[in-house]
Amino acid sequence: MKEVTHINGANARSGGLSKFLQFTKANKNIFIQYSSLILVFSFFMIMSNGDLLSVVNLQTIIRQLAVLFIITVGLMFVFSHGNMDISVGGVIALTSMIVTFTLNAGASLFVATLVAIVVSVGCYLLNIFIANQFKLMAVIASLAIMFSTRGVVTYMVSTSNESIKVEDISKLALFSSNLTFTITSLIVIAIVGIVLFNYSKIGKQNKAVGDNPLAAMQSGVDVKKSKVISYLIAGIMIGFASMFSLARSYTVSENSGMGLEMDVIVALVLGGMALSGGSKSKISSAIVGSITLVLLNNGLIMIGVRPEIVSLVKGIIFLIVVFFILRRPRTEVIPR
Amino acid sequence: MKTLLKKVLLLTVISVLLAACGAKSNDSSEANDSDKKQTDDGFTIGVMLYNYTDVQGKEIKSYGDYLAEHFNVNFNYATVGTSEEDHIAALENLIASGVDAVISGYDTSLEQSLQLAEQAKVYYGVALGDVRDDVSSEYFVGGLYNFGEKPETIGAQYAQAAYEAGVKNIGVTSFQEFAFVDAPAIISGFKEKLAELDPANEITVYDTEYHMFGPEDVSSAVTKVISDHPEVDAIFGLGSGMDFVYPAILNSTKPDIKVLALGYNDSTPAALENGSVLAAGTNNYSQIIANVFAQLYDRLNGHEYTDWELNGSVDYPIFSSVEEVEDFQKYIVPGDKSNGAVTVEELKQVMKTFNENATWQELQQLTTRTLSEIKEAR
Repeated sequence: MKEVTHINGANARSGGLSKFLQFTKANKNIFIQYSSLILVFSFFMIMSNGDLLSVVNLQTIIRQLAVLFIITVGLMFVFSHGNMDISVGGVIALTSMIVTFTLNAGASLFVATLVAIVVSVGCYLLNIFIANQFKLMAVIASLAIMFSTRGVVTYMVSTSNESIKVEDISKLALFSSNLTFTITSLIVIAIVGIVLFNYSKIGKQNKAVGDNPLAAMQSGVDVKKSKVISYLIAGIMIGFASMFSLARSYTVSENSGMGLEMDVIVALVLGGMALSGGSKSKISSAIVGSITLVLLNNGLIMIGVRPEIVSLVKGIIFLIVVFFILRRPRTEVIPR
Repeated sequence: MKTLLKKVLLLTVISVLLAACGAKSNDSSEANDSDKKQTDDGFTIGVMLYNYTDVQGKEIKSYGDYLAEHFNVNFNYATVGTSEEDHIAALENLIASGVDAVISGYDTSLEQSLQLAEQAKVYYGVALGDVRDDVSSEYFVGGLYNFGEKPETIGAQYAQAAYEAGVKNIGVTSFQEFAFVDAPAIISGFKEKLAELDPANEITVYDTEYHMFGPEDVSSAVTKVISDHPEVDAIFGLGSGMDFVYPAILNSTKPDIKVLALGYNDSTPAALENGSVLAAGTNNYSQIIANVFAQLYDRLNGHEYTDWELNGSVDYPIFSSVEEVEDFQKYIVPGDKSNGAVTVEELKQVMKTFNENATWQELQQLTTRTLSEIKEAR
């Protein structure tokens, strides 16, 4: 009798392990998605002797997260189409510059925020208009927008006798020093992003278009409209993010927003996003990825990694994530 | 199961690799434990630069390591991007890591940077440029005139080299004025000195061709100078003269054009020897870091110069012969910094922490010594 119980126990344990493995396999992508965050977090927690979670550093991380988080959530709607956007840095620079002029002209913060959103939405609608009208890949259209916006900012900066900066920085206090507002904004944006992406027609249609535009169209999805809506959402988010960006430095230069486009792509890949878009796209990729990237950049300086090997360390971490992602079917990863 | 095991193994191996990479920035030597002890007992100074791979970055890091050996201080080197956001993020990260002071290469987002520094009670200095006089903070030690207080004199030295070489038609290329604010003064000094040396007006200096920051931008500017003025026989390159202008000329339709270069790299000695470069120059990075470090270290120890001014000065060594460039290598950028432009002993003499009679003016005198003065002091 005792032997039977023992055998049953062993079977139960074996069944438990089997169930766990099945669960792991079924949720492989979720594990992959969070593995980079867990790896980066654990590594820097150990290396910094826990300083990573000090109050000062947590505040630092939240401040640094704001811009990238909002942008990445916004652009998730574009990337889920299988599209790619590389104009975000230029749009942020142009928007910040116009907001600076608006604030310096005496406008209130509310008006300036509206202006930021209008300018950014304008850029993104122009982006998708060019892509739709001339049947271009969206990335080509975004290239044009990037050069144009960057060109305008560079011209304005180079012809201006004085640096372009916000004269009354107290106007931006809400975005620069109010941590409660920043956290609330991030939470609200995350919730809005999750609801829109996972539970609304907009998100579902986006993913359908990303999987197969023709099939989506034949199923009744207005592909062009779906794309325009996603660019509209991205524009709103990026306009809002530009307020946080400007509040970080109060100045605009030809380098403003430089490299943000790459940060977004890196964040999405770190978050386990399939750049081909489609039904495998998850809004959590934007959330997890942006947190991972900010933690990575923060941690490398926190623990004082030698500058010569910073890129190497980033590369290794990136490689780990890509290694896991590349194990997935090719169509899930490579953009069309 | 095998695949899972492989992945776990891979993760473990890479984690170990990462742990190995995660050494502290000043652990380039084998003395990890002693460095850590020094950090715990002393000050940590953050350094922010675009990179540590060019002459500028390498020299700054090398001199920092030299200082770390002789002062109770450790350096945390951070690589920053060019955007304001990147600069602020790097500063925040350094502050969060617990630095006591920061040497920033640039005056990017200076107001916001000073605000952050004040909040964290961290001293802040700008190394690679002077700063406007409308910024102030009790935690700010100021900036540095990297081309001396009168950049015109730099231009005059290049004019002398051009005149002595006998070139007659000189093009000028430079980064845009908004990015290189000293360029107009240097060019002005160049033209004025040539006018003085050449009263018969036999030498022509063409209008400056301004360009952006990429090598392709410089190449386009050089091409434009050559196509607009086919008779050009020398180019005064203010925008990365050795790294960008010199290769652009070598790859142009007139590779025999002589170069007057603001800049220095490993090609400079050979180029001076074969005569393709008439003069070259670069910042004295030891003087730069010595100047900012001395002020930060004094402030951290509760000392402040009574005759302090917002912007200090360093020398800009220019060399036009092989002998001079050899002296430059020996006395300005030597591997052993105890034979270099500013030794620890010299620096301590002008620091309030070690000499209560030291003055800010004496510090400036030390960090504006010319190549010949440094050579004499050795």
